[in-house]
Amino acid sequence: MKKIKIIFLKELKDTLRDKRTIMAMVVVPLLIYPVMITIVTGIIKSQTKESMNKTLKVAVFDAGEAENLIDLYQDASLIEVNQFETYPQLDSIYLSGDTLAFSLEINTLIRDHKLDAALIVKPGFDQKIDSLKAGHIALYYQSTTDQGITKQRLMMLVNMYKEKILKERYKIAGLNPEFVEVVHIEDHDVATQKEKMGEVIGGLIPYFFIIFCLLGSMYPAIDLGAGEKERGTIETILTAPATRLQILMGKLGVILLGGIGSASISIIGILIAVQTVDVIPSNILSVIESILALKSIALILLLLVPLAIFFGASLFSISIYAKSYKEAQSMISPAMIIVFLPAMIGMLPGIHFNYTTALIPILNVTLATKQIIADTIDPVLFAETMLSLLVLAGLALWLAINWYGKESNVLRA
Amino acid sequence: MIEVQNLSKSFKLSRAQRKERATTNKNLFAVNNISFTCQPGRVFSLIGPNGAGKTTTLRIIATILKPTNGSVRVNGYDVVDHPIEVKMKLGFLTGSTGLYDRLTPNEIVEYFARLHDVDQATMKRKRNELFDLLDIHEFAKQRIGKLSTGMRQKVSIARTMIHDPDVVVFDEPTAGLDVITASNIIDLVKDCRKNGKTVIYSTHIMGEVELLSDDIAIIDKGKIHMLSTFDAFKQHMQSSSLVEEFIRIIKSVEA
Repeated sequence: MKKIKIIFLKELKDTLRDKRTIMAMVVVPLLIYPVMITIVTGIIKSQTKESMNKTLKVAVFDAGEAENLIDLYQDASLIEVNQFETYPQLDSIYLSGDTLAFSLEINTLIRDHKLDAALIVKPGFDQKIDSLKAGHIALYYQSTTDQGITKQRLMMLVNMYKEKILKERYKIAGLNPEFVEVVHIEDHDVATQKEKMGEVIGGLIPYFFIIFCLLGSMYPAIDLGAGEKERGTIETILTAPATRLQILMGKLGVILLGGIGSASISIIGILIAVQTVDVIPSNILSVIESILALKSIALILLLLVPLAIFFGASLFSISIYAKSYKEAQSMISPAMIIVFLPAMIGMLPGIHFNYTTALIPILNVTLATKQIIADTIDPVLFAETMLSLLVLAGLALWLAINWYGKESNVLRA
Repeated sequence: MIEVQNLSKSFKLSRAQRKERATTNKNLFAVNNISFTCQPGRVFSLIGPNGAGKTTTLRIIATILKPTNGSVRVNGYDVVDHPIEVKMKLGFLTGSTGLYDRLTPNEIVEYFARLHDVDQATMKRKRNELFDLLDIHEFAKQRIGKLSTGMRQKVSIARTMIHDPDVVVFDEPTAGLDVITASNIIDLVKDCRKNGKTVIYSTHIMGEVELLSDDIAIIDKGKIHMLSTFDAFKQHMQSSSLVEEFIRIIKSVEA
């Protein structure tokens, strides 16, 4: 144990002095959440504000009909209504009755941001309204430019008009509004805010934990395996009075610490984000707070221990086989897909945590973490996940011990 | 003392390696049934061309490789059965320094002292002595990556000698070094002999062989073709110089 400790402390010091490792193990996981949350919430906030305060350029083709509706638009603030005269070419197409060419022309004007929307009152609108029928309106807009805020603003005025006409019609028919609205629905969603958000962003967070656990293990694994070969220090350490197992355990200790440390640092990153970013929406904040609960952190870390052993031992086995740092990197890169794939599958909706998925490594970590965040973790499934990960970690460790014991691997040059 | 008895070491050849060597043999004997003894207080020179089996032999003595057949005993300990006891008594120095770039000379020497169970007080005293002798003090706190090759080799010597080994293995320790740095190594070998240590020294440089050897073995293609004391070797030389005699022996083996 003493020799393992000596080797561990030396390897730790050596690793912590490597800038590449520090970037991957500490800086990136510490900053990714604050940066990501600041950027995402900042963009959403500024886009929403901009879309709400923007003066909309709306082309209205009313053919002299729907006067009351058009008045609503003309009286509304931040809406610039252009009736015919602004777009003469459109006017002539519209009047010629070529609907396809007209529609294409409007599409182009909106896509080129010359117009924000177009409202076309179909012929016979007034007559239909007067005869208690439905008048037709076509609304052109581009939802991708502002998350549908333009449509919301325009529809709000149409709805006001509809409400007004409806009231008049109820009066004419001598009806109560309840005559039409047959059923009153009280909406009770039993899913908590945590669960809803856990389902949405809860899938993303374990994905990052897994990535940081992998990246945090990867650089020390490459450096302490292939890096040692490349620097020619492998002979030096092999002639020191320590067994191969002691050397391996000392190195694996650092790799393991790198994986768990990196994932843990990302939790600190989330904490920093909460403290420093003041624009986090309340529903996202509630999920973040549930991740930062002691119970959640403890359970997530418990999952990460066997996962980090698996990553560390597997990566070190590859690394010690490689002849150089570069070769180890090129061998490990495709292996990362094996990790990313189940982690990504776990983010998909409809993939449930059950007795089968709890046995699939990495996927089970993603699904279990989602449930931990939502505070709905099933203890039996959690135990099954732990067992599956421990078996996997044990196999990876066994492989690493055998692999490091083989002189054809250790001295492969 | 190092006792090598009927030592053989074979490596498996991959299909590509067999094709490259134009052979159907699945195994290559890097060392084939060799025996010799290195005595305390004497320098044993192991010389031979590239690929002769020198490094393989030295790596087996240093417990890095395991023999396929035969045995090696270092100070009475078998390298396979008691590798830790062997390593405790052994120092291993190569030309490629084998130092950690991100550590300082102080840290490296302390690390190897601790692995060899050298107590703190002895380590500090011994480290001071070695740093005095090798002029390391002025760069003792700088990282190895920032040091010149000569400085690194000095640190490598200190790392090798910190636990005061009884047996020292030198594998081409002066390869690629300048004359002044190489002379530090030569001085170290002489000191080892003076202090009664067992030294096995592998090199290509015949001047070093002439300067240091008490005993000599010429190895080629995994077999020892000449083994004697250096004095006896010189008396029976058929050529005018050591270099010519070495070439003559190797050519006669190939013929």
